[in-house]
Amino acid sequence: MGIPVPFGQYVPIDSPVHRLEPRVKLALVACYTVVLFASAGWSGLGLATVLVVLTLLLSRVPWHLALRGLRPVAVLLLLTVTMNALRWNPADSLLRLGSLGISRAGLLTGLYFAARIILLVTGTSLLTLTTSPVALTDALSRLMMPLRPLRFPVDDVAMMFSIALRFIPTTAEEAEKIVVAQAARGARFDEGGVLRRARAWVPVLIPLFVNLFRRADNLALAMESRCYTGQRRTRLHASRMRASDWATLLVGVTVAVYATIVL
Amino acid sequence: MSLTLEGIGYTYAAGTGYSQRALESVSLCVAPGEIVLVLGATGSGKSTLLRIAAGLLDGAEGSATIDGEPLTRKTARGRVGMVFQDAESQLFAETVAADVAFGPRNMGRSEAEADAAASEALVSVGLPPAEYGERSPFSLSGGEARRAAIAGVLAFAPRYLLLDEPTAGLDALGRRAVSAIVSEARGHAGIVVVSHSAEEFLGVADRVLVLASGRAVYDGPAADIIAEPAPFADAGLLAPDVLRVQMLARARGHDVGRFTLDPARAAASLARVFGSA
Amino acid sequence: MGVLSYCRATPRGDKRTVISFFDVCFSYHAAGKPLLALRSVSLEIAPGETVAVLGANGSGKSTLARLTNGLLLPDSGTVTVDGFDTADGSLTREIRERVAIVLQHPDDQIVATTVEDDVAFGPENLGRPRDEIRRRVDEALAAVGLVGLERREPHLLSGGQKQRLAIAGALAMQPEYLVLDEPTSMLDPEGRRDVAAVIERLGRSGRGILLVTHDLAEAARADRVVVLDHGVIVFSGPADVLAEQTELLGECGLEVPPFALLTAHLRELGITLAPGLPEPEGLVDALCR
Repeated sequence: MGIPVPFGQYVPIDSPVHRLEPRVKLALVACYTVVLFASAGWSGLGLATVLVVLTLLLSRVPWHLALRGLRPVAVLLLLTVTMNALRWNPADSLLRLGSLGISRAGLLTGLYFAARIILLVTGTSLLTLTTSPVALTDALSRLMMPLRPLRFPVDDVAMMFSIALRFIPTTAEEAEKIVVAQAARGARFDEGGVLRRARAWVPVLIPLFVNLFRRADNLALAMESRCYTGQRRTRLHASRMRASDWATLLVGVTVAVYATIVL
Repeated sequence: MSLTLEGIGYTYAAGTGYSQRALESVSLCVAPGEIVLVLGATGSGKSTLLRIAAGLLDGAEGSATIDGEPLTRKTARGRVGMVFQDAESQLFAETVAADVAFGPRNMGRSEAEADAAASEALVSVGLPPAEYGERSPFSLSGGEARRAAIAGVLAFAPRYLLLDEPTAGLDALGRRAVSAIVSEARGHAGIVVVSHSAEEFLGVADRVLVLASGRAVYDGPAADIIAEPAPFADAGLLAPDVLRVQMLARARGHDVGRFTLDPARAAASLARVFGSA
Repeated sequence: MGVLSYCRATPRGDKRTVISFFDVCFSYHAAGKPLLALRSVSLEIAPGETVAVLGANGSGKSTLARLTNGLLLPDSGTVTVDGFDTADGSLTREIRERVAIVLQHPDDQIVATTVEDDVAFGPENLGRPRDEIRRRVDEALAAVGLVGLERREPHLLSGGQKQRLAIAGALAMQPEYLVLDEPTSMLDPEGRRDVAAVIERLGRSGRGILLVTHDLAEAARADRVVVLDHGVIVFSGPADVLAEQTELLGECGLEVPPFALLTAHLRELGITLAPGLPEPEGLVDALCR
């Protein structure tokens, strides 16, 4: 209905982190993961925490949005802490329930791993929070470029990504329209057992696919008449690496190396 | 007996950062045998109003009743038939007959009853079941597919028939066929047609509701808006060309008499004024 | 078919860019049996000319549009652009740089995720350098009145804006000809008005235009109207002459708009009007004079 639908996690604001070249951001996420896992001990975690908090502040992404990614792993976090902390007859028990007790060392180990998970999830989601899906797929396909000599169809795959992103909102809108239309003809999507519910979706999925195929046909015609062959294309927006991008990348790699060797 | 909406207001995505007011105290009433034409530009709220009238949108302000009962998804079921925009893009079954029978079957009719209703509906839209019933809906032309989709709604014999842009994208033959179906359906249903163009249905409508930015700028007999077509401009719409010529002539101080949609009568009155000059 | 001027393929080297159909037949093969869509169609579109192809659904008019740049190839006969035969696969790019097509459904021909990236799609495919692509994109967006929406996502545009975006995408190819296949039939009146205004402006700027439509009022703005009925050209001439041929229009499944009837009635009643099918404003101007 013309209302902009928030798409993915991306928070469309302007910040130094948003402006960073997406390929650099991908590389920094890799560096960050190295910091997190190559360094054994609390000092590595401390460094990672500083990095995440700093980036989050720079990105101006609201805290609650950044932490939203933790909701799905909440159970995992709880399990990690309790499974590590609970021991039979621990020597360093903080609390005892019969022969079951909470071990001080175990609790610390549990908290350590939980902190790692929290930092991993928050740190990596900063990428999708500050990079639009379009820019991200573009960066991914440009990072695939070295595969081109191996006859991997890099350009076609990049075009597929782009078209998929282009048609997700259109298809979602269309699906909604068909669901309402079939409901108006008495279709019921929320009654009966699993099988009946699944069958109720047939009148939605068939026209949706038929329309998608029709669109694909037309799109192919339109692309063909605009001379698309998948080869020798130039780009309007091949975002270039600026000095600040190189500098940020250098800092990222240095920190990762430092964490691996020293921490 | 009527489908009556009174003082309807509606907000999309209420309470979120994306909320958007779509309707502000709009009323709509249709009784069997009547055709009400709802006109408005894109974004005027006319499709929203139609969805509320079909009982498909919850959370509207104001009162809505159908034959005296409160209008809900449940009370609308089977009594209100809605033909959506590009209805042909919702066809799905293996055969035209099966697609048209989908509605009545969902409404709990027996197989035999549903098939009979489907045949009857196909006849009424000019697609004889003997010729079209066993064809795939995807093999039909654009106009035929639109008519098959309308048959799919007529088949469960709704007392109120709502149509959203029923002639959009069709050629002259298709438009004529759909207009004929709508006029004929008046015999057994109350009809609401939503359109952004007055050309097609103004001539057959009993009453007209003109919407602009979610508010009614005209609500009255079709004859009155033909006689005094100012509300078209209020809603950012163009009056039918034949009317516009008469309006422009009057605006320049010529007495062209009572406005008419009929090209021959309009030409006669224009010739009377300008022929002697 | 006496109204037609036949034209053989323009020889290569001729500077004149012409789209030329000579004795073209085309059939579709659906469910085993061939369906003849065009029969012996001959037609020439001169540089800078705006030609409307008018016909009901199934008259073959979309087929004709798709034959102009080799999206479809004739069964027999030839289609040439600037002397280049569309049947010669090695010339496809030459032809498509000269003839750009805009299709009916605005949603189905937008490839990219932002407005400017979509306009850039054609020149990118042609391998043009970045600053030239930038210039072409800016010019094309200015020509269709979409300046300021460069970074907008296509699904947030109105129907009329989407169709103007599609036209901009075609213009960025810098074609000699623009072929538009029912560009307004899916639009609301506002979008229809905007797109029609863009087409008219492009026509005046000297680009050749082939406008496929089922709407006589829309066709009336062209220099010449060609009527297709079941794959055969049954009329070629000015719109006002056609508007009087109510019988022919009826046979072709076309409609005389009430306004054209009004104009015809006025002429019958002895009011002298200049040839052509004016807009309502133009008609009242003429009456008041």
